[in-house]
Amino acid sequence: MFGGGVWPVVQRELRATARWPLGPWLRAGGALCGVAVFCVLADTATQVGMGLELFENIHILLLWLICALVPALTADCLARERREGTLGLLFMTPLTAPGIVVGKTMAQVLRAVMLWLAMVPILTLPFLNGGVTWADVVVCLVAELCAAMLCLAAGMLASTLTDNRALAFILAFLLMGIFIGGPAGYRFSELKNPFGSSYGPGLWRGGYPNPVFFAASPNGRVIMWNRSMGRPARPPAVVRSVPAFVTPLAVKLTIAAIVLLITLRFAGWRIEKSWQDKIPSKRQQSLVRRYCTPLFARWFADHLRRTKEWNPIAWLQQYSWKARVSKWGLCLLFVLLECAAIDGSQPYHLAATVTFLLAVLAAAYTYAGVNGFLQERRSGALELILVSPISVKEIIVGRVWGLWKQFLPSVLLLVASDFAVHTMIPDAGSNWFWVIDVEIIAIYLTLPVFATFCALHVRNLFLAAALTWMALLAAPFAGIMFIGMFAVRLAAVGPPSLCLAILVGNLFSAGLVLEYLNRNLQKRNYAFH
Amino acid sequence: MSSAPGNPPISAPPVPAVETVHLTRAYGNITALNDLNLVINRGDLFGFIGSNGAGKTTTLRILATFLAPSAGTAKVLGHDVIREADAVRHVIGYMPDFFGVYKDMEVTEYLDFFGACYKIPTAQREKTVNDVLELVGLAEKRGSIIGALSRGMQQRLGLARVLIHDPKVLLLDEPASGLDPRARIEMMAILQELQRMGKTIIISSHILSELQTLCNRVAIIEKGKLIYSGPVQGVRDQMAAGLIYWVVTQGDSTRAVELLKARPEVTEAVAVDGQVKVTFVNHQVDPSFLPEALVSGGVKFTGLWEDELGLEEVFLRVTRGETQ
Repeated sequence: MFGGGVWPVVQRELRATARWPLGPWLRAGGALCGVAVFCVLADTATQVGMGLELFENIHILLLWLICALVPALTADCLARERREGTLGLLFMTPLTAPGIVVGKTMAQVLRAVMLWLAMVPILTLPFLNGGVTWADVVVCLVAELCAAMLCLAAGMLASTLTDNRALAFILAFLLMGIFIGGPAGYRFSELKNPFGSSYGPGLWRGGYPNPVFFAASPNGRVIMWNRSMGRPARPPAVVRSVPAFVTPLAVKLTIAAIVLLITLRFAGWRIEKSWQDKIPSKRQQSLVRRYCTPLFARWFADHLRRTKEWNPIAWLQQYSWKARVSKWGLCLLFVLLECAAIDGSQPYHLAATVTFLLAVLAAAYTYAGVNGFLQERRSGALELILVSPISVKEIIVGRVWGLWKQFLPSVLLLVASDFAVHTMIPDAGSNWFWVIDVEIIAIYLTLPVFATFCALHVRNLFLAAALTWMALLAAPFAGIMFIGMFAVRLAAVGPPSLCLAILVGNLFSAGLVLEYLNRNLQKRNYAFH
Repeated sequence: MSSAPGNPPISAPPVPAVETVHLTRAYGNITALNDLNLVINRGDLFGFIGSNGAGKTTTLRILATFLAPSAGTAKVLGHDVIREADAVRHVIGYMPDFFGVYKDMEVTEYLDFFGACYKIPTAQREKTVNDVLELVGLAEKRGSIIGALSRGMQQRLGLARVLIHDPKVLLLDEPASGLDPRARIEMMAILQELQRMGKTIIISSHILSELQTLCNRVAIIEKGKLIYSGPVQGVRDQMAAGLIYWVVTQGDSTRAVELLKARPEVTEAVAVDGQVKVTFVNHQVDPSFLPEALVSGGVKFTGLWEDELGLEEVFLRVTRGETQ
C-alpha cells in the first residue's frame, strides 16, 4: 500500500524542519515563553485551591496552541511540494500516494508530540497543589488528542486542495473551524460533565473554550484567572460509573480518528489524481467565459478600457473575473447575512453580524492588498512593469486606486449598516460608534499603502499582513504623537476631535510611507525575482 | 562628411548602441561584474557568453535600468541608464530569463496591458498586438488563456511583449532556453529578421553553436570580467592557444612527425589514427611552410587542412567554468 515505505518522506520532512532558518529562533522563543509561564504558574500554584484552576488554564492554553499551530504547520506540506514541482518527483519513485500522505502526517505528528512534550514540565505543576483527579487528566488528554487529530486532518485536507500557500492556510483554519466548532462538527461541549456534575473543567463549560484572562493582582504580581473565578469551591468529583465516564470519551476519540483516517484516504486519492500539471480544459475555459463574463459586457469593457488608458496598474486590479466575483460576491454575502440577522428575533444579532463582517472585510482587504504585489514579485511581472516607461507614482496610485475601487461597495455597505444599527437600536453599543466608523474609513483609505509597502519588504504573505495591521493600528497613535498636545486636547474634547486625530494619524503615516515607498522604488532598492 | 573625389569612400565609423565604462556591480562581498568595458554597435546581433553566475544577467539588468551599478557608467543609445532611465526604457525591450506572465490573462489582454504601459495609443495598439503576434507565430493563440500555453509559446509571448513598443535595442536573456529545436530555429530566424530591420540585439545564451551562426559579434565573460569582445571570427584567432593543422600521409606517419617536430614554428606534432596533428606556436605563423617541409623531407601526403575550432571549443579553452 505504501510502496517504497513512508520513512524517506518522514526523514526528508524532519530534515527540512531542522534546516528551517527560523526554527532555532522559534524554539528559543518558545523555551523562553515556557520558562516565563513556568515562573508565573509556579508562583500561582503555591496559592491554596488554585490547582484545578491552573490545570484548566494550562490545558486551555494547550488547546489553543494545538488549534493555532497544527493547521498552520500542516497546511503547506503537500501544497508546497506541488508548487515547487517536487511532488511529481516523489511519484517517479516507488512511493505511493497513501505512503506520501502518511509520511507527511507522521512527520507532523512527531512535531506535535514534540510540542506537547515541551509542555510536560508545566503540565505537572497543578499536581503539586492537588485537587486534580485522574478523570480530569483523562478528559483533558482525550480532548487534546481529538483536537490534534482534527486539526491535522484539516491541515492535510487543505494542503491537498490547493498549491497556493495563503489559500492553503486559510482553508486549513476554515476546515478546522468546521471540524471542531461547526454546527455539524465535533463539539467539545459534549465532552463536559463526564462526572455527572456541572463542575467540569472550564474548557467545556458553555460549549466553547473560555478565553484565558490575565490581570494584575493588587500587589502587582501577574496572576492568571478565568471566568470560573469567584464561583463556589468545586465539590469533590463523583464518578458515577466507569462505563458512563469512558463511553463518551471513547466515542469522541473514535470519531476523531475516523475523521482523520477518512481525510488521509481522501488526501491520498486527491494528490494521486491531481499531482500532474494540467492546463485548464476547454470546458473549464468556456465555463469561465460563460459564467464569469459580466452581463453588461460592452459597458464593462468600455469602462475597463478607460481605466487601462488612465492607469494600466489600476486596471490590473479589476480585469480578472476573480476580482469581479470577489468584489460583488462579498457585497452579496454581506447583504444576505445582514438580512438573515435582521430577520432574527434578537436585535443584537445585527450588531454582532456587522462586527463579524467587518472582520471578514478586513481579512479580504488585507489579503488583496498584500497578495497582489507578492504574486507579481514572484512571477517576475513586477520587474517587467518596472522596466517599462510607466512611472513609480503611476504604479503606486494605480495599485491604491484599484484596491479602493474593488472594496468600496463592501465598505460603504458595512459602514452604512453599522451606522443604521447604532441609530436604530439605541442600546446596540457605545455612543462613540461613529469613531469606529471613521477608523474604518481611515483604514480603508490607508491600508493599500501600508500593504504595498509591506509586500515589497517581506516575501511572506502572513508576515506582510501582520505588519500591515501593526502599522494600521499604530498609525493613529503616530498621528497623535505628531500633532502632540494639540491632538490630545482635541481628543479630550470628544468624539469629533478623536475622529480628526485618527484620520490625521492614518493619513499622515500613510503619506510618510508613500514617500518612502516612492523613493525606494525609484531607486529599485528592493530584491525582486 | 564626404570623401575627396577620386579617393575611395570612407566608411562611417560604427555608432555605439550600448557602451559600458568600468561597469561594476557588487552584491555584498561578491563582485558580480568587475570593471566591464563594452561597446556594442548599432545593428549588431551581439552574443553574450559566459558560465552560470558569470555576470551576464547582471549586465542585462543594469542595461534594462532595473539594477543600479555600484560603479562605472552604462549608456544605451547615448542615454545614461541611471540619469536618463525613462529615455532608456522607451528604446529598450527587455526579455528576462523568466516569463513574468499573468497566467489568468488572455494573450491579447497581456500584450494590450504592456502596450498601455508603454503608452501606445489605443487606436494603434490593436494593430500592433496583431502584428507582433503574427511575427512570433502566435496569431492563432490570441484568445487563449496564458496559463494554458506551453512553455515554448509563453517564451514566444515574452518575445512579442518585448517587441510591442518597437524598441531599438533588444536585451534578451536566454530567449531560446526551453524551446524545442523547431521553435529555436524559428526564434533565431525572427532575431535575424529583427536585425535586418535595424535593431540592435544583445542575446545571452548557452547554445553557443547557434550564437556562432547568428551573431556578428560576441563577448565572453567570466567571474564578472570581460575576457573577449569582438567579431565571432576573431575570437578563435585571438583566444585559441595555437593554430592546428591535420596532415593525412600515405603510409607510415612517423617520418612526418619527426620532420615537423624539428621545425621551430611547431610546438607539437602527434600521430592520431593515421593522421598527424600539428599545433603551431601561435596564430601568426604562416602555414605555407608545411607542404614544402613535408615534400622536401620525402613525405607523401594526400590531405592537409586547418582544424576549425567552434565557439564551444574556444569557450571551453578560455574559461574554467568558475562562478561566484
